This record gives sequence, C-alpha cells and structure tokens, in this order.
Amino acid sequence: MNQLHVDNVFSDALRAELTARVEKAAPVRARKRTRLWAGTAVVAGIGVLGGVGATAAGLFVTPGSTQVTPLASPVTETHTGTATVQLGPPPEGTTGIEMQLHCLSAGTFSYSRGASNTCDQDDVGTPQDWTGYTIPLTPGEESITITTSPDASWKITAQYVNTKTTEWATNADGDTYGAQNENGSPDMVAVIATNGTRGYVYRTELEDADGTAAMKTFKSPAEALAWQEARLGKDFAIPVYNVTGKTVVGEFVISYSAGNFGVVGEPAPECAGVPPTLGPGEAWPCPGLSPTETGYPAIPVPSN
Amino acid sequence: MGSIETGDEGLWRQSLLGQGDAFGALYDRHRDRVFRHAYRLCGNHHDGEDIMAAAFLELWRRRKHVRVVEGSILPWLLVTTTNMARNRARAVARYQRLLNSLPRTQEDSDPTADPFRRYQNQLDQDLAQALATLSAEDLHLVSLIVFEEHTIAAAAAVLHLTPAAAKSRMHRARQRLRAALDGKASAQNPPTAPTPVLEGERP
Repeated sequence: MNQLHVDNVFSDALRAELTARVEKAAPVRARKRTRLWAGTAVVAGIGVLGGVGATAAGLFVTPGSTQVTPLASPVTETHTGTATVQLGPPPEGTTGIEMQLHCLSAGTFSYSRGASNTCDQDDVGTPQDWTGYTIPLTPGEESITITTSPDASWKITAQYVNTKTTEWATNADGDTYGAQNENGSPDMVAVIATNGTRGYVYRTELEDADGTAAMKTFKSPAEALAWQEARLGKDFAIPVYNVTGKTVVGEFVISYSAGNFGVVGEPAPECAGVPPTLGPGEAWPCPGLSPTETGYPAIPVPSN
Repeated sequence: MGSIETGDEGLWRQSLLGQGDAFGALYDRHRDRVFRHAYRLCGNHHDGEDIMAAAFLELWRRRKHVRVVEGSILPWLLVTTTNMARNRARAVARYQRLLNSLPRTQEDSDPTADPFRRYQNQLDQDLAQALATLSAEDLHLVSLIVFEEHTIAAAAAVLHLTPAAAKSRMHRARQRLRAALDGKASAQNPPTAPTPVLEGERP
C-alpha cells in the first residue's frame, strides 16, 4: 500500500482552499488580524524606537504624538479562566486604563467592549503573546474583566493613565508635521531615518511606497495580493527631510517580506503611547502595527 | 497515535474562530487516514481523493454539528467519509466544480501495467465491494473500530449508540464482512488471501 498517497498537488490546492474558507467565515475580529496583508512593511531603523521613552519623560515631544502619563502604580495579576482585576478608584486626571495582556496558554481572551485577542500555543512565550490596549475611562469603572475559557491562563498589567495627543505643528511652507495619530497623518510624517536621524517623510511619498495609495485602487483581493507579491523581498527608499521639508537628512526604507511584523522584540515601551483611545470593539494589537490592524502603515512613531 | 490526537480540541476551537492555519493543521494531521479510509471504501485512487476532499469540506461546512470525541475530530471525519463514499455521486456533487478545478499531478504510469499493483487493485476492489455489503451503521462501526482502532466506546459516542449496542452490532458486522470476503476469495482465487485487512479482529 505504500504507493497509496494523496497527490501532493491536489492536496496543497485543497489545503489552500480549506484555509481560505475558514478565514473567510471568520468572525470580523479574527479576520482582521490576518486579512490581505499577510506580509506587511518592515521598517528599517526600528530599533531606535526605544527613544519614545524620552517622550514619556517629557524631554522631547513630537507634534501630534501622544503623551501617556502613568497616574498610579501598575497592578499585575495572573489568572486562569475568567476573572476580574480590581484597580481601585482612579486618581484625578485619569483618561484611560492602559493594559497589557500576556497569554500564558492558548485561548481567546475577551476584554471589555467586545475586543478580543486569540493566542495560539505557538505564541505563548514569544513577543506575539502580548497585547496592549488603552481603554478610555468610563466613570465608575474600576476593574477589568477578562473573559476566557476555564483552562486559559493569562497575566495582566494595568494602570490608570492620562493620555494627551498634542497638535501637529506647521512649517514655513504651511505643511503640517508630526506623528501619525488617531487623526490620521500630517503632511510630513515623523520617522527615524536608517542613519538614526530623526526627521520627516512626505505623506504622499510614504503612501506610494508603503502601499496605502495602491490599496485604494485595488478592486479585488487578487489585485492586492498580486501587488504584494510583486513587491515581496524588495526595498523602497524615500527621502527623510528636516522640519523645513527641503533638506534631506537621510532615507527611510520600507521592505516587504512575507509574514513578518513591523515591530519585533519587547513591545511595551514602543507601544505605550501610540493610540490613546479605542472605539467600541476595537482592538489594537500593537506588536503588529500593520496596515490591516491599525489603518496606518508600519511606521514607528518616534519622538522628535 | 493517541498523543498526536490529544491536540484536536484546541485546533478545532481556533478553526472555529477563523484561524485558517489551525484548520490547515487539522487537515495535515488527518489527511492520510481519511484518504486511506476513503480509498478502502471505493478502491480507486482518484475517487478516494475526491471523497477525502469532500469530507474535509463537509467538516467545515457542518462545523456547528461536529462532535469532538475523546479529544479528536477523526471519528467524525471518518463517519463523514464513510457517508460520502456510500453516496459518492450525491455527496461529491456539492463540491464537484471545486474538485474539478483543483490541480492534479498527471499519472505517470498506468497502474494496471505493474503486476503487483494489478493484484493490489483487485484486492482493494474486493474489499471495497465487501464493505459495500454492510449497512451504513455497521460500516461506520467497522471503519472506526477495525480500521482506525478506536474504542467501541468512542465509536458508540460518535454514532449515538450505547456501548452495548455498538458491541453486538460490531460482532454481527464482522461475521457479515468475513462471509463477504470469503465468498470472493474462493470465487476468484487471488494469489494472496485478502484477510490481512481484518487483522484488527484479533482479540
């Protein structure tokens, strides 16, 4: 019977069809995680993101960036199954609850307002087991409830914070500049060049390079995939300017590689300040920072 | 085998949440056994692939009704495969266009050219025909217990039978199957006895 094998060509095609059907039938949240942009832009110079810490310390502020100020000491708890974590009364000036959740086992973890995150067994113990949210404060809300199956374990760190998004600035040419935030992108987007210099790229050039512009023209998933396929393994460099928008100080590279996320490594400090609030049912799986997940290209939001 | 199958529940749950990779992993895990079972029932390679494919497509289509037995979806898959094989024309019709559209490697040799394969084919056909003489329920039992070595309790659970009923049905099914195979053996006199497939019958 050793000649008795399924034809590999047939099997591979069937497998692709099956997984496509599963993904297509997925609940909205799950589908969003892995939709078209299986490969997202990987941004060079990402390691410099630790510089955001300087923003938190109030030393530099990029216009349009979010300042997150912790107002109470974080509460860290580990649970198995559904549980509620009490945070106590919020201090004066609290605008939200910043929480970070690590899956300690496979499972689906639902937060308040319908957001949820699913961990595979493979994610556990890797940076992918991490999810970060900042939940806008609701009066009277002094706890976080995580709903999950009885055998799923998790660790949460949560604290009351004050978040504030600063205004974009305008240069002599009348172009706005600063960090991307929930209001969208300014004319010149703050980045860190490959040479480590902080500067700005023109939004139009960035959108051409990272696919945001192309995305708007796609009429079918096939088109998007073909576009993505064509760029796989390639790098696109765009100039980085100083505040004037005229002097080039470096370049910013977007490379396309399959299945990689833009941000790797310990994500907490990098993610702390990006989206200050989330709408109902919105999740912000920060380690991805992919266009699919955030609506923004995989661009770090550095301080000035 | 037991340890491999303990992980189905997690993958199945993730599949239901829309994670294609999890479903792909289940497919990888069970493909060969489902295919072998389909082949056993129809005795034809191409049809076996179609039935295997249809079983997995059904697994997804009827996901709300799938019963995970002893941590495994395999029993459900095998029962579905059996049903598919018995009503091949009707069952596969739902997926015919899809199945036809899936690429296949061209057959590089005529299976009847090789004498071993010719005998093997004959044996496979004989077994498929003998299995076809069983009622649907008996065929399910034989498939799960004899071929796939599930316990009577597990087979009973997936088939909605009491273990006692499953046990007595199983006994009668074995007798019927043996009679069907013996009849063929004496009539056609194949060079080797077709009985090895019944090795699961040993106590």
